[in-house]
Amino acid sequence: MHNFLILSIFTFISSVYVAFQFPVFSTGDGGELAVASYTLGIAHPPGYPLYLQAIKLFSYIPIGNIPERMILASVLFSVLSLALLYRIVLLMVKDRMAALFSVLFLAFAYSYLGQSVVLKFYPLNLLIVASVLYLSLLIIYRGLDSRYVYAGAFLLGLSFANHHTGPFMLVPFYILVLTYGLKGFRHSLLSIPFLILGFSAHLYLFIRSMKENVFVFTDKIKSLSDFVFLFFRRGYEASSLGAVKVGIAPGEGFIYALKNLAILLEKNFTWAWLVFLILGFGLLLRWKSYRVILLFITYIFMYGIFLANITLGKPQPTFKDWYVIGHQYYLPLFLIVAVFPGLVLGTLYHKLRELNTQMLQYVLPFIAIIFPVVPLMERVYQQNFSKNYVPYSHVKATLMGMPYTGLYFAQGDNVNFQIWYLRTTFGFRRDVCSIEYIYQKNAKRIGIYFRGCKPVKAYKDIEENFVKGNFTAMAKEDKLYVTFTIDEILFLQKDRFETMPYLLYSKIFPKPLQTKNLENWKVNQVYNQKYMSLPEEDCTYHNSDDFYTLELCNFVAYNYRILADIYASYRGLMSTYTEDKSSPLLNYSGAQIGNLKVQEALKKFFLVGLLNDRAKAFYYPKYDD
Amino acid sequence: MIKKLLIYIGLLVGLLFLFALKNFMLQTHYIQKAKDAIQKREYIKAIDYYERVVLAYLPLVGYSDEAIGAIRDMCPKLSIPDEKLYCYETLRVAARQVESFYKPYQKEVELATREIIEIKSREFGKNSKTLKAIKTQETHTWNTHTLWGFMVPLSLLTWVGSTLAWIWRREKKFILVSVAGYALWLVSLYLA
Repeated sequence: MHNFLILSIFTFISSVYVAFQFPVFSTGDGGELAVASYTLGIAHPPGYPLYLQAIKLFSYIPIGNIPERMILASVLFSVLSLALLYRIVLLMVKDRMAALFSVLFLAFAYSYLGQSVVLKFYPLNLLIVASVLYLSLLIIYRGLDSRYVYAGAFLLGLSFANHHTGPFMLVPFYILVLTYGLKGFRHSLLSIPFLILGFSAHLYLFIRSMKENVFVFTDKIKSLSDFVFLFFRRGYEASSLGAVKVGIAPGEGFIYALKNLAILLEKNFTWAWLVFLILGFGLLLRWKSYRVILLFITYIFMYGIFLANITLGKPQPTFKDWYVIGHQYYLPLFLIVAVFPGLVLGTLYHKLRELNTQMLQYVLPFIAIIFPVVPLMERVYQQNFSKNYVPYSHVKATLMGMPYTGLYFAQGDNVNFQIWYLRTTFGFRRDVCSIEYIYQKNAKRIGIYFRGCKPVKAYKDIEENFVKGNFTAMAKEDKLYVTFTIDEILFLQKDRFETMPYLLYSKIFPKPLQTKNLENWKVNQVYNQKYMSLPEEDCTYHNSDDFYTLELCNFVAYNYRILADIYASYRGLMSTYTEDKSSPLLNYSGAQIGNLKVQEALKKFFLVGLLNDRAKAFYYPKYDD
Repeated sequence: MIKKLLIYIGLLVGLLFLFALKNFMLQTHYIQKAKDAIQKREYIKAIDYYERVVLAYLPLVGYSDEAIGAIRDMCPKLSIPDEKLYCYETLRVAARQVESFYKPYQKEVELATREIIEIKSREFGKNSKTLKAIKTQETHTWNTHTLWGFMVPLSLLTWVGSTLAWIWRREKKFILVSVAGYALWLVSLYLA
């Protein structure tokens, strides 16, 4: 009976995850990770070699499409992590119902469910962390055994090749082992070769860099210094080592971190998490399980307070902070929090059994199973991506709205990653060149990438104005476009160009704006609406509160507004666009700013691929195909 | 041990069954929508819906074939160049995304590539240089070698699994498997 119940519950959870997963690639990093894995390339820093290889295996499943198969890996890793949670609670309280309660408590939590159905490395990260946590508890409950230490070290070595929060587990794991005195110290020392063996999964980066036809996010890894640069994420404004310094720095950041963590946990589990945590620690104290307490406290410190001090240690995190950071990084914390309800319920269940209250024995398990499933009703309208084709239809409409050999300056992961997937990898509208433009004002960095334009040489051979850098000519031919989010294109001078919103992005016009330009713009805007019907429909029915989806759908909503303005103008409700400068439509401006010297330097840099000192460009343009 | 292994295989098969079921439901949903769109003469929409049927690919189930055939037949009937291009681009991109060891719609990929090159050559193929560039663009592929690409994760799984098995059981055979798996992993990384 118990086995049947366990199997039923795990089947139910798996069914929900499979049903809720994205039908093609997910928003955010989804497109990039699919491309990087498909070509066995290198994703954004630190490269994620373990994850890319793991999902590559899934891409061979002969059902569905390639990214959808890869998302199935997230489902599997999440279900396996739940199975480990079950084993953990069972080991501690020896009660199956209690273990199942913990599983259900976690399975439909907002972020846990959300991360289980997208193309991301967090479920694999959690699976490794949960495995090491289980091994740590085996050490406590069954005694120190070299097998547990070596296996833990090996897994932790592997975790370096997945996500940076995986190795956080080194701290609780080795502190625990060292509490066993000399024996623990000896095992720790002898486990180092296994740690290194696991770490050697990074060889992937060096070997794949030798190949020509692979997708590489930044640079190929040809030396140790390249590897260090990638591994410590030095290309980002906040590198990994900088983040560690922030994590341990004393100050009010800790207070905010604690407050924000409490909010995060409440959003996922209601305040029940706090009640179970307090009662659970109380039970551990009563049982004098001091090693478990030490393990749990160090674990919670690393995956809760330390991590929150780095990422959420601010008074008022933005919505983006909550969604991008809070929603993704804290799965290991959620796992440990879900252990406590099992401990409490298991103990209560034992007491009831001793008291021989048969009714409660049967009613309590029923309530215990129903209680965590209730939030699922809410998840159907939050993290249900079963028909979320938004990123897919968005990129198709974007590319189809452009004329032959159009040039598109795109900024932001959420826009670029999809283009790399559909255009560069699978060949949709390869005649369009998409250039990724990064301008980090504070860091004075500029990056121009051609990942959405490969093979670049072929594009250069087709579009002569591109080679000559004659953007005015391209703009005159309606070939120059830019994302809505970009506000500074330094090599395009403000007095020479102007932008107007167009479909899901903006069109760049040469100044002065002619009536003919405006008429063409209106005609194209209306004509290309035929490619907008699916993005509109997808944005209406996607059934989720995904931040990235909403970001893309904002463009669709904006397109409606532009269209309404155009129709209004034809009906004479607005005089003319050129006269009515106060119109919200025309008020939108690309606002190309920057001093002339930088513009000129960048122009040169952009065209001939040379780094100009004055420009202080951090990244180099790529023509490596 | 064998019983446990069978349980895990059973669970994986179960997961795949759920995955197939979900895709089947997507197919039935979108094939109907595509047919409705055709009746309303919304051809672009119909192409998109048929694409979704193809993307939810299921071998041995006729919907994918029906959808890819419908797109293929619709493309030549579209007279406006950008719509025709859209149709062939969609046909090709949908067919490529469902490939595995077996490439079910290779013929459609080849047909679409030929047509796309022709349309683009007509539109902006000014000289032999641009014609060559168009061909380069459209025939450029990114995928890894099919077999070696598969061997990479498989050999990784082998050496990781056998290393853990050796740590757990201390049997020499696992060391041999681990070393062999590691070597194969390095080789396949290079050859993929």
